[in-house]
Amino acid sequence: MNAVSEDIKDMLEAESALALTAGTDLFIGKEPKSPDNTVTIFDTPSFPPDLNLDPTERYYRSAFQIRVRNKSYTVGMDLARNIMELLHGRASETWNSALYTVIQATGEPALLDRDSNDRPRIITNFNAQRR
Amino acid sequence: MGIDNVMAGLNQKLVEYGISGTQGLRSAAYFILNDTERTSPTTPVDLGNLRASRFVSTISDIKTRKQSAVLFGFSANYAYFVHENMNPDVQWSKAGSGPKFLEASLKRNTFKALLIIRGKMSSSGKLKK
Repeated sequence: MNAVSEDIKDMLEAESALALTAGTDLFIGKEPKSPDNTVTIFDTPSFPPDLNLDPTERYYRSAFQIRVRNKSYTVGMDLARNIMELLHGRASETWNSALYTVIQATGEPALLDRDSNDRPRIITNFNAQRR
Repeated sequence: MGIDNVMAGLNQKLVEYGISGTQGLRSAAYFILNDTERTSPTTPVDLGNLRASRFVSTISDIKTRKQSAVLFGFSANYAYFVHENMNPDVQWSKAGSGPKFLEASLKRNTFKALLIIRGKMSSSGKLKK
């Protein structure tokens, strides 16, 4: 099973409305210094997995954070909200052999900070249930 | 009239549960906060101000005491930034510490927190096993 960030990266890249490209403006694990406008996905602490006798029936409750950095606060916030709307409530989809039974945002997009180049960074946290 | 008596008794029980439930909620909150010092990712420490800003506060309707809740966390004004900073380049000064320290403890201890609340309610006789 992939890291949840890998699968979410594929989900976002497949959304033509977002026009994101992995390695160009869509990243996982580390936010590069350039370009200015980026979307980065981080794996975050999650709820414990199920303890089923049959491991194939085991659900994992993965968690991730999506961080949007943009020169414009408004554009960044709009993009973060679009991503949240695309992922929140998404259910019963298979990505890279993992069945995602549901993805849920734990909150709405919020300003984390401005980086050393005064670019606003906006974060949204999510929980996912998958097996 | 019968339903009124039942509702009155139920409301009384709810009041009682609310009181004992508050004790359980506070204990569970303390447990979750304490675990941010025991299990990685623990609370990052520079000067200790963030760690010292832990708090647990009870919210309840003083008049009826039918509803209660606890508010807990870290009151340092930069707590949010530290907690959500997933930047892997950050060299956290305390080994084993890092972002999402409270969220991780909450998720790790959800079931334990419920047991603590249930235990407090049981020990005070407000909940039958």
